[in-house]
Amino acid sequence: MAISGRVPLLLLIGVVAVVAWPQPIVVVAWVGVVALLCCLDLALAARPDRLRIVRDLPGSVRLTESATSRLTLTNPGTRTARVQVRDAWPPSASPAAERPRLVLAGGESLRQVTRLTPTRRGDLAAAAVTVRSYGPLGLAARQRSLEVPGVLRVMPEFRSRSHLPYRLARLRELDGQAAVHVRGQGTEFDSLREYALGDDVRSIDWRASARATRTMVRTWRPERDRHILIVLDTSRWAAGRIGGSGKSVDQLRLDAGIEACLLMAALGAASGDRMSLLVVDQEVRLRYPGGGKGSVLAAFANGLSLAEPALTETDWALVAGQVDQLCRQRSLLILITGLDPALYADGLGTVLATLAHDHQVVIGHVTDPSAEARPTDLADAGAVYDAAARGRLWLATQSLAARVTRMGVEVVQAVPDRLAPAVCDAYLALKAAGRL
Amino acid sequence: MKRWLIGGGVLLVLFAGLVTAAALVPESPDRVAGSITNPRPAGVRALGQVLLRDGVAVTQVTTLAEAAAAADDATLAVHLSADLSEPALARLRDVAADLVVINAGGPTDTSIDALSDSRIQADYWWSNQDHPTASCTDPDALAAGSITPSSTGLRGLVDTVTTCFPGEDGTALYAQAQTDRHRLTVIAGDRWLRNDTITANGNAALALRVFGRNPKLVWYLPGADALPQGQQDATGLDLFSLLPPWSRVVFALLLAAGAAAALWRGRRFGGLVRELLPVEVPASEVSAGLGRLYRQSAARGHAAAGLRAATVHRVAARLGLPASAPPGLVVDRLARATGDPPSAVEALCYGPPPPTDAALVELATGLTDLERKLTTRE
Repeated sequence: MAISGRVPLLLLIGVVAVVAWPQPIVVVAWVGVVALLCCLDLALAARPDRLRIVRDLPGSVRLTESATSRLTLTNPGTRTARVQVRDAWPPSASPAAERPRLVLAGGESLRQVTRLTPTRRGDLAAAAVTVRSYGPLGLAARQRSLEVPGVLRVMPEFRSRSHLPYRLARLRELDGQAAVHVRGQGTEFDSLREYALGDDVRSIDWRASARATRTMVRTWRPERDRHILIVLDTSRWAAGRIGGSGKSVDQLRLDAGIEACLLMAALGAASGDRMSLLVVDQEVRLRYPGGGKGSVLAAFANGLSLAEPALTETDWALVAGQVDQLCRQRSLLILITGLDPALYADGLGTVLATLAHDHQVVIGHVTDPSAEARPTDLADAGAVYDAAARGRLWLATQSLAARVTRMGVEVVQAVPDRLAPAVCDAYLALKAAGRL
Repeated sequence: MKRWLIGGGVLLVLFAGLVTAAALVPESPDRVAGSITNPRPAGVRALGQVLLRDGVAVTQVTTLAEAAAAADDATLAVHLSADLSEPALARLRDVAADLVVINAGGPTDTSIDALSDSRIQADYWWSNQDHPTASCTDPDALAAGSITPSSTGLRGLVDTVTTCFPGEDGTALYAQAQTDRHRLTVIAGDRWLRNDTITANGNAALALRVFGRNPKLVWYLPGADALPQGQQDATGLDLFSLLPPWSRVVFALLLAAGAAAALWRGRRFGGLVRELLPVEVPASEVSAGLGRLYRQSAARGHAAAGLRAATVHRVAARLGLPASAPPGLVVDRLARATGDPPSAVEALCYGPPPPTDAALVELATGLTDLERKLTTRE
């Protein structure tokens, strides 16, 4: 039960009568009349749980974009229903709150639209739909909350898609770039064509030229159908929030890792490689072996929309086991994780040597822009001690990166916004060098 | 859960109603201080009971009419805790019965002055002695010997007034005078006849003699009709008397409208929705903690070594030197690149640890300047 703003207004109108007859009984009588009208209105209101409500919701929406949740209300009874409907969503869905009073004659149906602009990745579950059914006077209403289930999946933003066209152009450049390739492991013979000015003379196929009486060159194309496994670490490292400074936005390390996964998915699919994904911390959170039908990017985005960081350490033995299962041939292994000297010896270090021996490994490490920035204001001793601590940790990370690089592992260190393109550039460089 | 909340709300409303009813119902005389039927410490029931056993007919009245009707074979005891109105004082002054006024404190100057025809004045009483002695010829006071004093006192203004239990500056606790209508006794304070103190000193003796003088005792607790108009409530001013006659009812209606508005706005449109938040930690938690540790233990040497090593690592990479280059080579190349004397560069990059925080800050500034010089030169 609820009353509307008309009730206090109606009570205020009674001031006229009270001024005319200033007796306490007039006040009591007026309040009584209003209460009686409210009860009458309540009795005449349609029952909210009799309404049939159907929700119409898109399956997914990308973060920062808007979706609409449509509620179709049908009044199966004969009594006219005057209703106000609230479609409740979690606060991060930022539902636009416009709740007009709808008049539903018997047998009619109406539609109410709630616009949702999510600010958080993941599955958003609709809360209850609350219906207020007013009586004919609009004074009092019956209120009821009804369950109309609905789930909206909010996909990652994929902000780094702006980097994609340039990387795709680079990929096309690799096509037929015989000149930069040496014949041998990793490059595949594509076709023969006529020599054009500027081609590397080393790629002239003399045997074919003799047959064709024109100078022919062999063209090569980059390797295809390689297997790429991306391992996204969602342990405590991923929960680190990197404050926005200047142009970069405030985000978690996990968000930067997800961007890298998505950009790699788009690029790898375009270059014809098989993409797999493993999201892991203490346990396997998501395992996508790849090779299935449908868009890799869509599958990655769908799976990664539910990734959440956990305050645990990564179980690297588990990761090694999963890598063995997922990669039957030599693959490109992209580990999106932190190069933390304190955790390396007991964590990543235990399995990295084996992994680097069996596969080509790239480690994507998110750096903190505030740690890289040179200390500008060092007037305070506290700031100097902080800068010294940052310097020591940076040095330790650099020496660890150098050690890891000597094992044949590519280390990509970048600030959050640059991680995705940097990982892709490392991938393209490996592809161009025929090291996949 | 909701059921419990509703139940609790109903109980709360019932409780509020009970409190309001209790506040509106007039106070029973059995609970008023100075009442002869009140058995609490501040009451006077003990005296009343003893007088009854002695054959005195004790009655308690609260209206002026009943008090003024006391016959001449009675004693009218007036328990004064505030000034009475002019008409009330006039009627009490003309009463036929003997008058005993208990000055129980509060603003009672005018009343005592009026009741005694300006013979007795209310005053403060003060003495070094705990138990003042009678020091007069009045037989009642002499029989009592001493009574429990209060801070209020009396002063006789004419010679015909007998005053007893004197204090330091001529004030007294007991005054006795004869007016043309009746015999008047004024006694300061009520601490000598309350249930909790009546057995101390000679309190009981004085009380029994004064109030048991006549076969009847009328105990008067002045009610609302004896108090001056306009001072019936604590504020002393009725705000509604300044406003139009309908203001009171309009105010009541506004209250009702306000309550309805509160109900209208207070009812939630459906429940609150839960939001699941992901865990987050600051990315710089390790470096911030390490920095604080350095500062706490004043590890200047350690901090300086860290700053120097980081700077040398960066500039060596910029100058094309390997990270493992010997210090001499680094200093030489740095001095040539920046134009600074090699000794200064060596002191900056490989000098002794700074002794104070100020020196550490200076070192950090020097290293930053060195790096900046190198980047702007190129």
